[in-house]
Amino acid sequence: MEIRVNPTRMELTRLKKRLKVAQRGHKLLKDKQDELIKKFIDLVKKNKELREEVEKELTSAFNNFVMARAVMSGEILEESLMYPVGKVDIDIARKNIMSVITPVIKVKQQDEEQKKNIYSYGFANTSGELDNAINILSGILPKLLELAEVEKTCQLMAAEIEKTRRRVNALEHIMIPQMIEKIKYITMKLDENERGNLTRLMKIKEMVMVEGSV
Amino acid sequence: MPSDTKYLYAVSRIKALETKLLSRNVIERMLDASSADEALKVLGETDYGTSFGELESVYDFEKVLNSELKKVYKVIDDSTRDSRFTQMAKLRHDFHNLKVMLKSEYLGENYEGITVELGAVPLETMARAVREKDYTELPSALKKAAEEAVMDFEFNRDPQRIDIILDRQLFAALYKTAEDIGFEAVKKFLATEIDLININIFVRTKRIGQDARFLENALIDNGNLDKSLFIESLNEPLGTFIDKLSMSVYEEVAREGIQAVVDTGSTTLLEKLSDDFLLDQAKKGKFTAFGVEPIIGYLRAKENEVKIIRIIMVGKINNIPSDKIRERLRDVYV
Amino acid sequence: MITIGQFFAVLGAAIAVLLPGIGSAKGVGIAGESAAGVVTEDPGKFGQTLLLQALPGTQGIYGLLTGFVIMQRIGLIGGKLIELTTYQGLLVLSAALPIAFVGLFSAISQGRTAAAGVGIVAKRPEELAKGITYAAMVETYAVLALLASILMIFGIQF
Repeated sequence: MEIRVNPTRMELTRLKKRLKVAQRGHKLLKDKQDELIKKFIDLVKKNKELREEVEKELTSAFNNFVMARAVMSGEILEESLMYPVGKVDIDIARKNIMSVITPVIKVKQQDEEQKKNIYSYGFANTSGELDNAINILSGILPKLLELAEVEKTCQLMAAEIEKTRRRVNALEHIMIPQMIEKIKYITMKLDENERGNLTRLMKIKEMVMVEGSV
Repeated sequence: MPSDTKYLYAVSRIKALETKLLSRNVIERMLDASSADEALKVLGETDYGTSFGELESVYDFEKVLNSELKKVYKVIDDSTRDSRFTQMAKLRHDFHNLKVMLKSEYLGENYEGITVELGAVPLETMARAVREKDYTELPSALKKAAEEAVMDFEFNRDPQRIDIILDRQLFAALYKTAEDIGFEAVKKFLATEIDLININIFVRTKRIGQDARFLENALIDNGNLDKSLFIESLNEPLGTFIDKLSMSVYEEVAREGIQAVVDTGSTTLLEKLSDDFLLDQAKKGKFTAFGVEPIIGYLRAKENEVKIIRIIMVGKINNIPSDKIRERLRDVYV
Repeated sequence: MITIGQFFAVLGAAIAVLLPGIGSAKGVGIAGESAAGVVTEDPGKFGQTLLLQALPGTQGIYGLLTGFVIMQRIGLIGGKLIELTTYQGLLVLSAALPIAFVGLFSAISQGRTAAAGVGIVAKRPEELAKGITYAAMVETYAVLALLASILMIFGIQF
């Protein structure tokens, strides 16, 4: 590979400085990556637990739903649910984990009155199995939101880890070796110049001595 | 009370039709079918097969059920030459349609596919009335109900109250029709149905922890059981309520059905037992050759049959195990 | 000159035909309406239901028979009405009463039983005989009344 660099002493000093910075940066990034991965693994574990929990509850809600659908006609079921009454207010904030901006979803607590009022239908021609399904779904919502939060955080972290790793790799395998190469090149070039100079000087000295003696 | 031979022709025609109701055997075969398609094939071998023309996939089975009900209404209308019997069935569909249209009016969304065409009032008429807020074209029971529901919604903004008001008005209208028909049996049967619905409403109200005011609103009038019985029992444990019912005809429904709610929190058994109890009352129609019992019995039997088919088909489509389906399966009329 | 006795005797003949006739008409009507319902759904059951429908018709025949016997006894058929006292006339009227009333009510009851029998045929055509038996039981009392009426009429001395 051709190395295009000015083999000057100034350049050499500059490169040496840069190499130092790069090595320092590499170490820092490496530490960051390790920490990120540690946090990420924790989050993924939490995510898995949450997801399993939510999925279990969702399955039971859907089972209730299917059974409610079985004992009621499709039209009555849809009519019962066409006008939703349940309302949830959420706050979204930001949190900084290792310079990754992640969302924090906060469910505003519903009051008791609202909790009873999640049913949007009359009871005369509907089945109690529907109440169960709605109840489970309504109870699952905070967990679903938490799951959304954790999953999004995981995604963002994963992207950050990827980015960091790329940087670390770039530093480790390209930037730093290249700089070392360049420094070596400049040093060699400078040394050669030095030697050339020395030889020249010696040659001149010899010539001057020969002329002087003549 | 009119003469008990008034609907003799209709009654004996129904006797002949009763033989075509699905038997236990057919239902068992549907239940044992390996897939929804298989179950539907079993159904196709019965009288329902004639309605299969419009069937495109198993998901359309509700269409078959609706057209079957339509046929039943027509037979009863033709043979009794008295529209009041089917009126009682159609009113339910009309009120359902009214619910859909009122809600979609407030939501500003389309309601297609949620309405049913089994009612007495054409859908366009009702849609126009709701859109223009002019209910004069509707029958008086619907008009009154619509006006009350709209007024309430403007004030409370609670869609559940639309349902509750319309349910209450529906049963008031049904009771009026039953009184008009003049046969004690119709009134008695309706009162039994109201009682069972009220028991269901009571149990569910208690389960979700609503207060007495909500319950009082939701309960249906004209039942045999006094409304105050329910309201007073709201703050007592369900066990006390079971004891209170033990002196009534609903003893068994209470002892098994409500107990199951106490034990498992599920109303499945209660709802099944309620339907079976009502069907049992309807079965009187099988053993009388006069009066109106066979007519209301047959109507109920048909609605029950539709429910059974729906339970099996929905169960099969969703791959619910047979024993889960069986748990919810209603008794049969024949 | 027509006597009050003759009037009562003719009245007896008239109600002996009249009331069971009304009863039978009603009974056959009830059974027929019922039969029509079944045949609407299952035309193959026409023969069986017809048999049941015909059963309440017998009372009318018994009434007519009694009427004829009275007419024959008082000479109405021969063209020469015999002389009758008021008491004799009342006796003839009384003798007509059993078949008149029993005929009326038994025909209606039999009509209802036959209608119920039609219900049996609708569900179990093979059990037709049982339906007929039930309806025929009602017939017994019409026959007994007929017997009483005829015996009385023949027992009256003119």
